[in-house]
Amino acid sequence: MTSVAMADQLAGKGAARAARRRKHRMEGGFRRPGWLTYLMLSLFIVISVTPLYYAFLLSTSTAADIAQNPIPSPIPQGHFVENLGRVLNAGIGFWQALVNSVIVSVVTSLAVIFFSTLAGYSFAKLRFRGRNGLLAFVIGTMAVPTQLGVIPLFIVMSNLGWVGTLQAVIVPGLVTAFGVFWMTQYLSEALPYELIEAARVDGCSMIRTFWHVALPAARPAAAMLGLFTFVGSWTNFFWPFIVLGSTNPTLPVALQLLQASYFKDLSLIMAGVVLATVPLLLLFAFAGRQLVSGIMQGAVKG
Amino acid sequence: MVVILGLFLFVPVIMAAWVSVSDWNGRGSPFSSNVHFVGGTHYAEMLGGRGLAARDFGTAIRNNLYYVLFVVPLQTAISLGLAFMVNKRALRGKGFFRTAFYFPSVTSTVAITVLWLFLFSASGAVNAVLSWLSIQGPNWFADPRGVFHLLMGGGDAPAALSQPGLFGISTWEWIAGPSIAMAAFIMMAIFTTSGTFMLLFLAALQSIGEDTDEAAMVDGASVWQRFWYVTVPLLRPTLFTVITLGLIGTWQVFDQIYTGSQGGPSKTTLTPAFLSYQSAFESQRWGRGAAIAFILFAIIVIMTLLQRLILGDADPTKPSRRQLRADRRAHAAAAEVVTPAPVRADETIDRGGGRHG
Repeated sequence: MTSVAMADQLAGKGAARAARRRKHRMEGGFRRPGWLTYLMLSLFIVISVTPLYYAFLLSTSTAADIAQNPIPSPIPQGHFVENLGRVLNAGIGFWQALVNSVIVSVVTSLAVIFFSTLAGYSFAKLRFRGRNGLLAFVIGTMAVPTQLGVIPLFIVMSNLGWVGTLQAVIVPGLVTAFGVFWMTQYLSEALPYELIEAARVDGCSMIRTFWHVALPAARPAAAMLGLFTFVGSWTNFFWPFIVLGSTNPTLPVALQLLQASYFKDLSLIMAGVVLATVPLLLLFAFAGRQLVSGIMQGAVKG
Repeated sequence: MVVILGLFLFVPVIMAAWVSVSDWNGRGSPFSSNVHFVGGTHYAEMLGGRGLAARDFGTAIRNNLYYVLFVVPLQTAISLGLAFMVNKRALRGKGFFRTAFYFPSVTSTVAITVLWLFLFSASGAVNAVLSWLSIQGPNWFADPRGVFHLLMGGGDAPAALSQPGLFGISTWEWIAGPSIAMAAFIMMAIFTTSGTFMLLFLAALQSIGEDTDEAAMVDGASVWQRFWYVTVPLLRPTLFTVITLGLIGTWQVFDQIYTGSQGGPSKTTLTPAFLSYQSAFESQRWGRGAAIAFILFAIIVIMTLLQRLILGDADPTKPSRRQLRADRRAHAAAAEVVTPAPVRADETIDRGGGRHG
């Protein structure tokens, strides 16, 4: 119900008319953004989209054409499928890399969403001893740079015999400090105690309360966290590169190998770039709007 | 999950601390009896010495410092500006703009680096465009000249500045600025990260809502005043998050360097993260690698605390409150004429529910 209609009921016709007048005046104040805004936005669009489109153009071209003219015609040429075939048969293991990337990203994002929501729910809504200290510790770990962890983590992984296997990438990423922090912040605002108490009164166990009350309430923030985690693990290079190496690569690692071994053949490399990027772009183009509007509905309360 | 976090974050830190003060060579367990305690040797080599290790480390710190100084303010300003523009209520095609700005952020650094290497190569697209404007573009990723040196006319070092200084690097080298190769990396970082931070700012802007903005507008604040004295102070927590994430990210540059330049040309894109990797995984000097990582950690913590101090002190709300109050007085008469706003029942319930948290 709009505020005007509400006022109509609460305060009678006179107040409603006044409110309507005021509302009208307010909207008049928010003028449509001028051409300058659109010009600047369009400029930024050009800057943010052109390089990616350019990579696509190169991937549809042949190496000889690119060498002749670094700026190809803006219409895609017909060599894309051919280049893609060459990437997949380049001896880098791109199929395997694609499958690996999908497995790692899907498992990691689902696990991060689940564990972070569980931890965030405990920190935000349950009272237990040492809660604040533990939360401060979790947030503190965010400041530790990856480089610091990598050397000992590599030692741990080689002791476990996990070097070169996917679980070496998945397991350390199952829960992130950022995720816990994020869900704690969101749930402490978005989930009223009344709901939890109501579920308890209805006889829900702690786990069922979490599953049926906390998880649904966390959905908008979880969507955002899932998106960030998915993008993060899809594009992650440093740790997979160290622990997986060239035998069992993820896409960024395979792409680096491609660049290192075929650096003269640009159409081939760009086809690899497109192959590594497009799945994420598709995901984002289809799910992105819902995700972004989900984010906008709730996350990050100051 | 606290166990997982502890196991994979806390234990490694302890182990890294031990490796950084030991002579472990990468074979066997670092805790076995033939690994010896060597004290602060690795740290002293880099921080105090005049040798190659110290010079490499100093160069890496200098390179990364310029990288941070350019990337963090620019990406923060651009993402805030974009979020502010996209957040306008009456903007057409909001969803399209939001999605398009986030596009560069979903591509992996390796992919973008590969693209960047070609865009900025000697005969690449950027130089081709520059040549239309009859500018002779540099051979970006092979050009070690410092940007500040070029701005100063590009002569030789004055004798007074060429003595070895901090970390074995002469003052002349310290003021070189980012090299042209590094400048290309700086542009790349801004290009890829602004979209993510725009989303963070956008979410915060939405949660602030339009009430305060409307209130300031009724009081007669201009667009610029509303942005600077109302929106930015309210965004302070997000600003802090964005700058902190920016600092952490920019001090750990590795992917671009490894894929793109391997530290060259003339070590002007060497960074501590890459140096740490090189020392540990390529030269098998694990102690030095761990020590570099620890110094990097210290730098990040210090920079984060420093920015907290600065953001906390420079309080832009102080003048604004005074100013807005003066404005309010001037508009008091007008305000009195306006009848009190009707209560928005839905909103009240919403807030009441949330406050228990």
